[in-house]
This record gives sequence, structure tokens and C-alpha cells, in this order.
Amino acid sequence: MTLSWLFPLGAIGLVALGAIVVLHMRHRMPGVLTFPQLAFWPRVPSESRESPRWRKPPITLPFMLQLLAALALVLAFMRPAMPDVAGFIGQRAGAVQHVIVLDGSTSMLARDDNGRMRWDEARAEVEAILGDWQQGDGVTLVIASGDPTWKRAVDEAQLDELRAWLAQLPAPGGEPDQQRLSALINGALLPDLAPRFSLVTDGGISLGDPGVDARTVQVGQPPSPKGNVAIVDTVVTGAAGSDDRSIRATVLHDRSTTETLPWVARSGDSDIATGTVTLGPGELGAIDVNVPEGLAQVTISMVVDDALPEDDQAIVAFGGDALTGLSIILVSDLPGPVQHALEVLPGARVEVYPSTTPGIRQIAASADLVVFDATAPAPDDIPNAPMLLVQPTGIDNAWQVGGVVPDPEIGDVRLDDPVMRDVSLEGVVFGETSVYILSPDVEVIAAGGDGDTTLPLIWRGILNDQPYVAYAFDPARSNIADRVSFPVLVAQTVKSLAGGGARGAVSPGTITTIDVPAGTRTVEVTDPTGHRAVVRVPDAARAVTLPVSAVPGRWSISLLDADEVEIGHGAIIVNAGDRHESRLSRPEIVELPMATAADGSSGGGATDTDALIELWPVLVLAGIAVICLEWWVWLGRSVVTRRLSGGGHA
Amino acid sequence: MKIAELARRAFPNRADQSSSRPESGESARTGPASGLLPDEAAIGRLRQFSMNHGLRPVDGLVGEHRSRRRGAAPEFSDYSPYTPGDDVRRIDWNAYARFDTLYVRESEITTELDVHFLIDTSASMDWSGASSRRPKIDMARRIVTTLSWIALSRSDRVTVTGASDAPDAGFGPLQGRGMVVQVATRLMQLAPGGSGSITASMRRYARRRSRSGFLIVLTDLVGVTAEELDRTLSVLANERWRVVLVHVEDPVEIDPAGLSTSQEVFELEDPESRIRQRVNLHPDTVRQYRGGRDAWMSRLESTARRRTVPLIRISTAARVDPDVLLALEQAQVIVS
Repeated sequence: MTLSWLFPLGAIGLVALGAIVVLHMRHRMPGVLTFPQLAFWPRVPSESRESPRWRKPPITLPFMLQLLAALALVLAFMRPAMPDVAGFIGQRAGAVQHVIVLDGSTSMLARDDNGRMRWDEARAEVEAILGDWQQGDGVTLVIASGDPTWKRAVDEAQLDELRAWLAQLPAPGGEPDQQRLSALINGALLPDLAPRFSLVTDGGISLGDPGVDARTVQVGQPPSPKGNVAIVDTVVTGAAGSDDRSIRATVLHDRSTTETLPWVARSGDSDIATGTVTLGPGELGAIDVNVPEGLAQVTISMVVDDALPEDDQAIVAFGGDALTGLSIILVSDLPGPVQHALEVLPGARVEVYPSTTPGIRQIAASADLVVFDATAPAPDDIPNAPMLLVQPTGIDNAWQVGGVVPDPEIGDVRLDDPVMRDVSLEGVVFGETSVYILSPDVEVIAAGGDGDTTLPLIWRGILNDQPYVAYAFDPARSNIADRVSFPVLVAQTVKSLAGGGARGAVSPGTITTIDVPAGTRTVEVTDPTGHRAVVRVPDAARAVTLPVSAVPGRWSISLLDADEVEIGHGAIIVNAGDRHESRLSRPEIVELPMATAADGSSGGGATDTDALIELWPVLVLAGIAVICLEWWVWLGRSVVTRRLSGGGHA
Repeated sequence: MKIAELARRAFPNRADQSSSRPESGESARTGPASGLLPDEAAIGRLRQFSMNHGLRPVDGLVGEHRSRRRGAAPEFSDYSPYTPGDDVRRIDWNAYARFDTLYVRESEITTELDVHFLIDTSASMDWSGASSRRPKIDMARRIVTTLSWIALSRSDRVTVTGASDAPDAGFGPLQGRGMVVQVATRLMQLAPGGSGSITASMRRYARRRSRSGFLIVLTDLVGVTAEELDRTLSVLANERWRVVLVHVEDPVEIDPAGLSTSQEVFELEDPESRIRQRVNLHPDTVRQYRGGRDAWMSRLESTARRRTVPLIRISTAARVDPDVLLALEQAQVIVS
């Protein structure tokens, strides 16, 4: 614990101690009292007689108290300060802005052996931090989740509101969105107030070096010995209506021993499949479930007792609807034929991100399909979703670009492949096309050639456990974009990847926006527990943002017109399992860079000292107490003297 | 009752302060003369007293004290044979007709008593050991007023004189109950100050008087030695003065043990000589003070006793009625 002196020049006041000593060393003029009988008073003993002008400092109680009081006041003048110590009586050097980042990710839903959720423990910690609030402070509470939210308080009334808001806030869930969180935190800083960061997390989030006072409160320690088993992904293969449609569920085994885990797949009240999967510590495994024709929803559950039961099951719903059509993430720097082809897909919602956007994996966490146009994901940022890659750049261990061919001709084409169904490449001129060197485990759907050179034009494979289809040609340079075959090709590709009519599930806490038809006045959202929420649709609005909390399961949605007649319905599936959030033993740490705070461009020139606790009030109080004590001692000794002085003199 | 009426006339704004003490020494020093006068309740008790001069009656105006001197007066006492020089007006011619011898009527003359109050007005008398107590001079004033009332109510003659460096011509003699108001006024006009020996003042006072009387000296006896007191009392006895010493003292003078100061060493200043002496309050010092003072008082009391002079010690913390009256009666200064 380091003691800082905010005003070292105050040490000049130590001269006062010397002055007190000197004053006491002087022989003071004795007090004079009138008394009518001097004859009977003996002379004072010789050692007390007037002697030299100076004497040794008398070690008396008043003398020591005066020194003590002066010392306390001088030390207070030097403004000692120390880092905040819980429960220490002092005053902070200045008003600060508490930026409290509360981890609201899915892992915060985990429970300890007593059944207490990490989220509840974290909220209690936040309450404790809020107890440090003092007049002038600002508080910004940031909920770090898949859809970060925040709330600010700058006075007591707002602080009460913030507390009430936090008390009723369910755990949002999801994986923290690093970019949005960083932008949100740095943008939420108040001017003229020193930021003081507090992170309450189970270890899944860390603050970058903010350059100011920052502390992390760890919750969920020690982790539950139950460990965790989760279904972190589901992929549906096979076209709708085909006999080979199946679900492949990825199981995460976050336990310390190898186990054989039972699972069951249900549709309604009927078991459609059961089985076991044997997994070692930290391993991922797969469960394949054949899906009979006609099922609308399949729930795959792991029969285990673990710390995070929410991610023990995953729901796969079939049969798309207008409300919850495909969610497609398009990573592209230029709009082109690919984007056009995607946007015309029925019910598809396309979000476009530049290729320089980091964290595509997080952005695409709830997407049904990610399309890379003239780019490719970074090796550490490969989405956990099916992908379509158009003229991608190279990816190690997957493919490499070995050159270009000016204008390849059509070669072998697997017309029976679902991607090529109803697609004719006859007469297509591909233009300059890259030559890709593929790993042997890929499946070439269409190939081309240029003399002796054979090159893949369309192929499929598995990347990061996710299926993908890649086009080697650039539609913008090919005449295929001008033909009807291209949107059909894209539609068939999307259907084969995102497919089989299965809708993508969203992570807990995701704020989902749906398009609503004209005339929609209210949207009713019913969560898996049966609780119903009504969202009013503003006039002329064609999109509505729906609140989806951490409760996994099927969220039913009904659109009602002004007469409360249902004009549409749909559902959103929330699956809690996540490859990172469900790994409770070794959470992947999301680091939140605090560039703005670190470079001092915000915070109103606040310094590190603002986060210190000043001790001068304590010292001043101590000094005053000592002065009072010294007075009391002095008064006690002089009361009779004053009585004599006050009466009887001529 | 007449005195009270006179007091009311002389001091129409007088509050009944005679039995109450002032809040501070300052008010005691400067308070009105009416504050010295006894109230009606006290007057009732004072009526029973008269001065006990204990001396041979002296010539003078007719008073209420019986005299051993025989002379012409309305009250017959005895016959004595006529001798040349006797007042022929006192020849009882009836007795001559009966006995054919000249007899002179002798009567018992009732005489007045000259009561002299000599008040020490040196600076040391204007001192009090506590703000809640009156200075010694004030206690002296109250005692003189009380005794004056007793004397004047018995048609004695009262003279009040201050004793200090400055010569005081004295005030009186006064006679008659109504003069007690003037006595009180005069007492308030006695301003303490200066220095001076009370014994020298006593001798000087006695020399200036052609006729001796009852001399009541009110003093704190500061600076008086036993030898000096003995010489003075001897002189006054030779001049047929009946002397009473009333020693007024403050409790702090008697015992300064409670005296405290924030300083280890401090100075005491004699209010008369302005001499300062450095002292401390070590218990041994206080003990020495008390021992020295007790010895000094013992010597003074012994001297007074040898000279058959009452020496009455009155504390400023005492009440005039009854504490002081009781002490005076026990010393037979007053009799009931």
C-alpha cells in the first residue's frame, strides 16, 4: 500500500513544530497574581528560579499534545493519499467516473454448487461498487453481452434508477461483442471526470490497459466441479423433403475426465433418436440425428447434470417463415452481383460488413450464412456458421491461390449436386479466374480448364467444422452475372449450406430485428416459459426489434393488426450453447481495449491521483481532537488561576 | 422601623440587597450604600443588642448607659454633704429644713458611649480570593454598618474613620438612629488604596482624640507584627481606650491549597507595595505558607489576649447575620 503526497510542499509546515519547541524552550514571563500576604510564601526552589533565557524543552503533556496536533495538521496540509481501501475512512481526491463493465455473457448463467448463478453474484459485486459512489461522481454500467447495453447515473436519483434497473435485469447472455463494447465504453466516458474502471466477470473478459485505475472482480470462483457439457452447434444437412436430411450437433465436453454421455433427440413428446457420445476432457464430439420428414422442430438434449444447464440442449426448427428468414452476413468491400443475388432470396436479411471488419466470427454468431466476396476470413476469425466464399483469398491448410487463368472453359460439372440443380453453365464466360490449390478432402463440384491446366470453379468442403462452398471465379468479370443461372446458383448454394429449411438459432441476449408487414400494430413475443411481452409497432414502421433474453428455447412471435387479428407469426430459436461461452473451465478471454481512456483524450485531464483516497480529513479531525484535548488539559490547570485573577484586585 | 423608613427615603431605588450577596466583587465594591443597611428582618434581631463598652462612664450627653459618675440629673441617686464648690442649685432645701444640714442631691447620670470605627482602607483590603466573594473592605463596611445601627439606636455616638496613608478626618460623631444612613454613605465613600500600618493609624487616631472611647478596628492586619501590636495596644490602654480588633480575612488567605495555575512558577504581587515574589504551588510551599501564617496569627492573638483586647476573626465567606453577630456577642462587643 503506497502512500502518496499530493502537496509535498506542505512539509514546509513542519517548521511549526520547531517553532513550538522553541516557544517552549523560552522561559515565559510568569503570570502575576495579586495576593495580600507575601510574607509567608517561601521562595521557589532554586531549580525553578529564573535562570537562563533558554531551557530544555519541558516534556509535559500540553507540549507533547501541541506537537502532535501540529504534526497532524502539517501532514494533512501535505495531502497524503493512498489507493482506495475498502472501508477506509477518507475522501477521494476528486470526483470520478465509475465505468463498471458487468460481464453478461452466457457463461455468467453458470451456477455454483449452491445453485447461485454467477450473474447474481456479479450483480451483488456491482452493488458493492456502487456503494463507493459520492457526490459528483458519475457511474456508467455497461452490460457486456452479445448485445451490449449501458446505463448512466450522475446523481442519487439516477443511481437509484440504475440500481432498480440492475436488480430486475436478467442475465442477457451471448458472447461479448468486443468491438461494440469498446466503442460503447469509450464513448460513454464523461468529460471532466477521471475514469475508474471496474470489471466484474467470471474471467471471460479482460480490460486492456486503460492507463487509469482499473480493477477486476472475479466471480464464479472456484468453478463448479460439475463442469459443463454443451451442445454448441447444430448443422442441418440434406435438402428439405429429402430422405437424407440430418442434424449434426457438436457437443463440448468441458469436464476433467473422459465420459460417455447419453443424449436424446425429441420432437414434441416423442423421442426420435437416442444415443451416447464418448468424449475426453475438453473434447468436441458430434451427434448425428436423422430427421424424419414432416417434423417442425427437433430438440437435442444431453442427459447430464452440470453447471450450465441452459446449454445442455439445442433446438432445431424447420420450415422457414417470412418473419425469421435467413440471416446472411456478407463480407464485401464492393456491392456486386453476389449481394444482388443474396438480397433477392425470399425472406433473406443481408447485412454487409467491410472485409476489414474484425470479429466477424462474433458478428456472425447468430447468422445462418456468412458470405465472403473477394476476401476470406482470418484463420482466427472463421465464423461458426456455413460459408459461401466467392473468389476467396488463400487460407492455410484449406487452399492456396496458385495463379490465374485468363478465361477457363467449362470442364467437369456434377449436375446431380444440389448446388448445380437447375443451373446451366453453358455459354458462360468466366473471365480471369484464380487457380486454387485445394486440400484433398474437398469436393469439386464444377471444374474448368485452360489447355493443360485444370482448375476448380466450384467446390465444397469443411472449414472450422462448418460446411462451405467456394466459387473460384469473379462474377463481376464473368457474364454469369447477366444470366439467370447465377441467382439460381446462389440460391441453390445457400439452400445447401444454410439449409434444409432449418432456421438459425440465435444466442441468448440477442436483440433480433424482424421485418413486419404494413398494418402491423403490435407484436406479441412469448418466451419459452410462456411469459408474453407486447411490442407496439410505430406507425409506418416496417421493422421491429424484439427483446430476447437469456432464456433458451423457442420464442413465438405473433403479428397483430389494429383489430388484434393475427396477420403473421413465426418463431426465434435461442440456443445457449457456444464454443467459447460454454467452456467454463478455460473461457476465451475477450479483451476490451480502452484506447480512448488510455491516451487521456477523455476524462477531462484527470490524473491517476484522482483515484486515490485522500487522508487529510482524517488527519484534520485527529488534529482538532488533539487540540481539544490540549485545551481541556490547559483549562483544567488554569481554572483557579483565572478565579484569582478575576477578583479582589484594586 | 424608623431606620428602614429613612433608608427608603434616602435611597428610594434601593432594592432589598442587605441579605443578598453581589454577583461579583466589582459590584460589591461599587454598590450603593443602601446595600449595607440592615433590612427589616435584621433590624428585628438587632434590637436586642447594645454595645458593651465595659468602660467607666464618661462625661457627656445624656445617654442610655448607666454611669458610675454621680451628678446633676433628673434621676435621684443619693445625698451627699455640701462642700464648698458644689453647685448650689443642687442643694436640697427640703432636706436642709428637715435636718438643718446642707445636702446636695446627687443623681445617676445615664451617659452616651463614644464608639469609634477605624477601618483599614489599605489596598490589601480591596481584595478577594474569588470573584464570587466580596472583598474584605466590603465585609468591614457591613460590620461597621451593623454595629453603627446598634450603637446609634442606643443613642451612642459613632465616628467612622478610614485608616490608610492619606489622613482621614473621620466622620462624626453622629448620634441618633437616623444617622445610620449617613454612616453607610460615608462607608461607601471610603476608597481603598495605598499602604500604611494600621497600628500607626490606631496610635495616630488615639492621639488626635481628646476623649477616649470604644475603638473598633477593622483590618486584615497585613504587615502587623506582634511587637508592634503590643506596643500600640499598650499606648491605647494607657489612654483609656477600649479596643476591639476585627480581623477580616479571605479563605484563600487562610488556605491557598486549591490555588492552581498553568504555570509551574508564577509571581504574587503585594497590592500595597507592588513588590512581587516568585512562588510555586508545590505542596511543601503551601504547607510552609500555612505554617507561617498560623504562627503569625497565633502571636497576634496571644498579644491581644494579654492586652485583654478581643481579636475577632471574620471570614469574608461568613454571613453578617448571624455569623458575625454571634462572633461579636461571644467576644462581648455587643450584649443582648
